Amino acid sequence: MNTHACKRVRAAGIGVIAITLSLIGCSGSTPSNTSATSTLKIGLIVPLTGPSAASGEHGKNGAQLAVDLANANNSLPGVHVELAIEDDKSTPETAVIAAQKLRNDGAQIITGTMNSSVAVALANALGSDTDALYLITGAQAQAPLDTQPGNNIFGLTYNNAQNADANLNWIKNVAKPKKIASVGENSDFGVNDLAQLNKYWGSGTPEIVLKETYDRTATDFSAILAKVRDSGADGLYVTAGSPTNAASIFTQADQLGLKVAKFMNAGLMNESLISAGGSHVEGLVSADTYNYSIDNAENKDFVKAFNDAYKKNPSGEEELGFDSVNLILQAAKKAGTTTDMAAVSSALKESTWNTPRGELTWDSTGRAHTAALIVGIKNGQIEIVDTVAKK
Amino acid sequence: VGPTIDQILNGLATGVVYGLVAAGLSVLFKVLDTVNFAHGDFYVLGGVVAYVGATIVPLNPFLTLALAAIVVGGLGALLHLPLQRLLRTNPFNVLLATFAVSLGISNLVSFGFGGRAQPVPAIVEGALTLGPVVITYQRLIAAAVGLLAILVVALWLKTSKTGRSVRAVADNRTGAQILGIDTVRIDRLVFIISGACAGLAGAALAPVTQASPFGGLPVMVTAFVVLVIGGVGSVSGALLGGILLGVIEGLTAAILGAQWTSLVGYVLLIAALFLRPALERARANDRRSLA
Repeated sequence: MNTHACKRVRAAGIGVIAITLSLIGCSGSTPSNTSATSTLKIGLIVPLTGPSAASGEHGKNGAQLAVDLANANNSLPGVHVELAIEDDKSTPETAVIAAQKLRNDGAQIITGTMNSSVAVALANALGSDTDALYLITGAQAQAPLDTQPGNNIFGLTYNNAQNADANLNWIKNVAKPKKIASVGENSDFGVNDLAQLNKYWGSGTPEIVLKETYDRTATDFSAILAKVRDSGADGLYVTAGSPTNAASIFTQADQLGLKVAKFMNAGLMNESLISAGGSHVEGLVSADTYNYSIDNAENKDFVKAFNDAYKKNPSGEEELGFDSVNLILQAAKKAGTTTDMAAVSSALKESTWNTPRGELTWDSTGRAHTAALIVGIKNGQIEIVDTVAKK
Repeated sequence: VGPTIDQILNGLATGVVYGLVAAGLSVLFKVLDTVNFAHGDFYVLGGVVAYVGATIVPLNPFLTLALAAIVVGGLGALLHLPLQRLLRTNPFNVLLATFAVSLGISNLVSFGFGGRAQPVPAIVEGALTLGPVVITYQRLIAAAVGLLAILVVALWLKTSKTGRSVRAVADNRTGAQILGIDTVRIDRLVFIISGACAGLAGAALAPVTQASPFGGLPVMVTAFVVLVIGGVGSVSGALLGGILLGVIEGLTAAILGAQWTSLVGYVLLIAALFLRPALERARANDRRSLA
């Protein structure tokens, strides 16, 4: 082949490659990309490092799936949804800086948050910002919803009182331990949960025979568990914000040979707990608002999409992450705007939504209400033990 | 009574491991006159080796303990390489450099562990029950390993030729150099011993506390408290300081509650910092009056 022919072959080759690459580029674009005329930026603030990192990762998984599905299905016609993720490191000050950054970058919708102290700080920062909507994904404290002049803050998960109503009533009336030892973390979350214990079990059965608190960074619970053993309790109730702490306590309890029924605060039953606790969390019972085996159409679709994306079943925190974005997008669609946050907030609050958790409504404070589940760990799997109707 | 005796025993056992961590920090401080801020993270890495040896590449648990000492001791040698020049020219920058290494290790482990602690199975499950007192076998094993390691280090420093060289460099670096001791080699050796102590302690205690990426700083603070209580440069002092701190923490948890144990550590640290100079002055006065 002469030099001229070589050049032509090379030019043709380059042309073929260029066309192929452009075709790949086209096929890689989602339909919404090509038709999108605007971008809706949703800020997700979750702990991706630090003691609550596992929860943050769960929230992120769910939120990302909701965004991907919305873009793939063109849920908001003409709008490309973008998730801007910030790590709050479980600290309020980092979260507030992240929120300011997201607001400066044009995000009006902020979601995420797995720690109550972080939610309180963000609520203070965003509560009077009527151009913003803040939907708290995982934090249980009610305080962030109590004072919000802009009516723009929502709490998706059960608060301490709702959880206590489902969890503690079930333990009292169905499991019926006689004497309970309470071991809770020394934090606002732990203090709130302990207050609920006093409210529900303050008199009669079960009798609270021991109340011990621990530092969130603690790893050695032998002193507390020795007291549990000597208290004569037949039930151990653990309040923990992180599955690692809960798993450590139940593991060390087993190692010390404690024979007690195991109970835990609501909302922490997940694969991280089972992974960290192994056989030591077997038989543990708690309350939650979600399990992947819930039988409704929305959940079946969600579980299938989640399995396709992550090759596993979703946890409660992952479902919350999904709902946090999905509900906002549905509300924006219903309100017909992605910029008027007052209209989106109203549409969100005034509607009844069908979610993977079941029917979801909001009370006047912005707190979500659904049915609750009593869940237990059996053979390394989280199973639904009982259902508590929505109130 | 049960929980109190339990906690004295638990404190003794945990204190021995504290002593092992502090012994490594103490020897390094005495020889090099500086602090390795990554020492607590070397403890964390010991836990990582224990986790890998117990779950990912199942090994004999005692072999895993030895491996933790070797691997983390080796990392100590690696850390010494870039620090050699700084140690001679600007010890303050060694603090900054090791602080950066500390942050790097903790972030890497956190990333590898998915941001959470990982469980490490006990070498022996169950607990020894003596009437009202219960102590887990794993804690007893950790104490035995810690005690054995401290004895080995102390004997090695006292009786071996290299150990005597380490002490000579610690006492008078220039004099040791004049005597022909290779001080760079001794420095490297001290980094290895120090790292091995921290790694072994982390691996021994990981089945009790889980292998946590965030354990470095609390352990470092504990080691400092032990160092101040037991005295810098003394392996036996580190052991006694560790036991004292462990027992006081245990009793505090049993009597006041577990949330007070951290505070007690800081109170002891402050008390030791105030009392130690007065005690040393009193000892010096005694010696003068005896002379």
